[in-house]
Amino acid sequence: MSDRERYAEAERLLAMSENQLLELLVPEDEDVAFSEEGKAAKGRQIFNDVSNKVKNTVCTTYHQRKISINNSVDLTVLIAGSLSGAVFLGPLPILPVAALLVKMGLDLYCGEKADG
Amino acid sequence: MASTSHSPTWDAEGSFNFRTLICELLQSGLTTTEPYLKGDESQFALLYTAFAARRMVDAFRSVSLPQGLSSESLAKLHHERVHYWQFISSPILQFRFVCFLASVATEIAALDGRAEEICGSGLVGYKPVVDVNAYRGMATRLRTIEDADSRWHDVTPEEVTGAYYFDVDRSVGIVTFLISTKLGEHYPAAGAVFRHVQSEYFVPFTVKPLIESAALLSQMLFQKKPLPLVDDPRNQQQLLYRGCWEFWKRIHGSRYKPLTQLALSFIAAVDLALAGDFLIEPERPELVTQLRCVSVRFAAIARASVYVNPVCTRYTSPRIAAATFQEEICRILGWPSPSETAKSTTVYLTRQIYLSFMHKLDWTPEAEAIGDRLLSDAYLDLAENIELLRPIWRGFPNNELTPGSSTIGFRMLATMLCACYDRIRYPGLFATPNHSSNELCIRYPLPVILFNGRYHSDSVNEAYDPDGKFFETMLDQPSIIPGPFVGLDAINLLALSRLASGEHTCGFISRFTDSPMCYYTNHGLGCPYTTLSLAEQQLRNAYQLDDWCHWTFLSIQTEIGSHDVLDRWLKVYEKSKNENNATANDIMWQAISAFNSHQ
Repeated sequence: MSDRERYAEAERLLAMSENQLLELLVPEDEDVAFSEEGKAAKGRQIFNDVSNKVKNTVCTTYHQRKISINNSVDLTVLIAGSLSGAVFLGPLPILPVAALLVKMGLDLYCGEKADG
Repeated sequence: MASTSHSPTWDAEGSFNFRTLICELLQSGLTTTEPYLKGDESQFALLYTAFAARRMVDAFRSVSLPQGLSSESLAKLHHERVHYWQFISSPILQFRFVCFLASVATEIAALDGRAEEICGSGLVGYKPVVDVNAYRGMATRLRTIEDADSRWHDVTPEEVTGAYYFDVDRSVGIVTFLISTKLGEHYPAAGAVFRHVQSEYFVPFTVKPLIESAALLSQMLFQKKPLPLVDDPRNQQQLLYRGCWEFWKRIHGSRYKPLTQLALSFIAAVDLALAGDFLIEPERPELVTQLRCVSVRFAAIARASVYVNPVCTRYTSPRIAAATFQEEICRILGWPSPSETAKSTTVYLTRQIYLSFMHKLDWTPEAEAIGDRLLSDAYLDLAENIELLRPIWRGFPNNELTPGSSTIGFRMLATMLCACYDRIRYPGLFATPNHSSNELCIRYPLPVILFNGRYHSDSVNEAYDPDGKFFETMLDQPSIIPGPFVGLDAINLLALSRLASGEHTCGFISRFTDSPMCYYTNHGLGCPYTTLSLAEQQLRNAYQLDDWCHWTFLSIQTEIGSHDVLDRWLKVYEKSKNENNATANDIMWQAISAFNSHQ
């Protein structure tokens, strides 16, 4: 995927709802039937598991980023880049995971305290 | 059904796995998983598991679902029960399951293991050599059913072969396809096309959209909620869960009042589409497709359904009304009825199970004579009188001490065999999951419910069968397998499931996050096939569990594990064999005794 495609894909994913992103984490499996909101629930289970595992990597990248990288699309691509080397993620789609983390709020995720 | 006497405190979504039979409930809003049991309960469970491990038995406790499941979520649990009933009663899905068992068995054989530990695979004898031609034949037959389903997202306009509209305005119709595969084969398929505002939308009549529409409809009827329609066809989820029903309502809406009767006809139509016959070789080639390809079946059913009387329950029970509707459609199309197809499938499943046990068990002379007929090329002739199979059924393992009772997949195949038998005796039973839910819950509870990584039984209370009349009719079934015992198959099959795709690792370990989640991890014992923490290792040491778990047990049973594992655990077994705990009850009493002595 070229840089341009990556940025376009990140923008597309960020426009989705949280549930739609969670559903993307669940692999297509003809043998599993979900209730109507079940796929999003399964996606959340996967996301919760993954987000615990990648916290150190993501937060280190986030804290060490250039000051100019602050908009959601840039952050998503940056975080996805840091995850791309994580072998244990296997076939999990990385960009949707990154988009979810950005939507959740990286300050909140990394335990930053609000100013004031 | 879980009691609603407690205030609802938790919600959950559901899923059902058609390979492993696992129903998973996913609690809404949950961010972490609490340790399973605490204190004395945990200690007892660990003692039980430890005593079982010394007898090389993989024993684990399952409990009822926690109280307080909201009514909305109970309806979702009903949705998953409907999927299970679809699975066990559909010849098409039964055959897929047999092929899945054969895949697992073939992989075990390739690893030089005991493939005969997998029931129904057709492989017999100690470390059998795979009959490649037979396996290829099975795989070819499976592809005729499946390929249209799996290729749906790649369909191109060039593959369209025709369209049929039900009205002059062309607001709803059927589109047919001839789908090509990379191997140059072609498979027919069909789907609905309907207009919404100014655009046309398409829904395939493949297995997934049909079973989901039927299950969602059943769920809404269960909740007495308005029946769902597609209000945003750009939403793929809506098309999946409501599209086929939207189609059905558009072609029939004016003929049915009230809408619940229309819903009954749709659910019966889906049941009929799934009740295809994968065994007979009809004289007319076009019938092969109609008998085996689910999407083509449903399209044919839809076209024929406008020529039969609407389903009406004014003068008869819903079950008979649904069965009559199905039979009239079959008569128009020249198909065998679901009851007739079930007779052939009854013989087929009996044969597959018999192949697994023919050398393991002692058979009466009567059973052996029937067994010879089952092994002949003309075995399907037995469908003319399935009661001839009863001597074979009587010889199947009927309790945990009978040799062969632990053969993996046997309990599930026996349950499917009972479902076929019930299709014959009670036409319309599986076509009416709402009206027959009491009886279906008693006969066919979900094998196991996985909730927060913990195993729960689908317990049904006595209100379902206060007079015991359902239970009495179950005594006549080919094989009586209590629901929790089918759960043992579910756990085993989940652990072995990755073997079917050539991965030599436990199915409880997520292939996406490498995280294991099973009975053992939930009791703080960790997974010996990933990394054990110090606390997990210490707990295993305290209960002398070493590397015991589902996968270790199965790798020993199928002999795909290392010799070291087998030798080590055989030594443990030999050392403890004087402890007189041959049965699960003995193990349980030993655990109780040990637990009490620690108090």
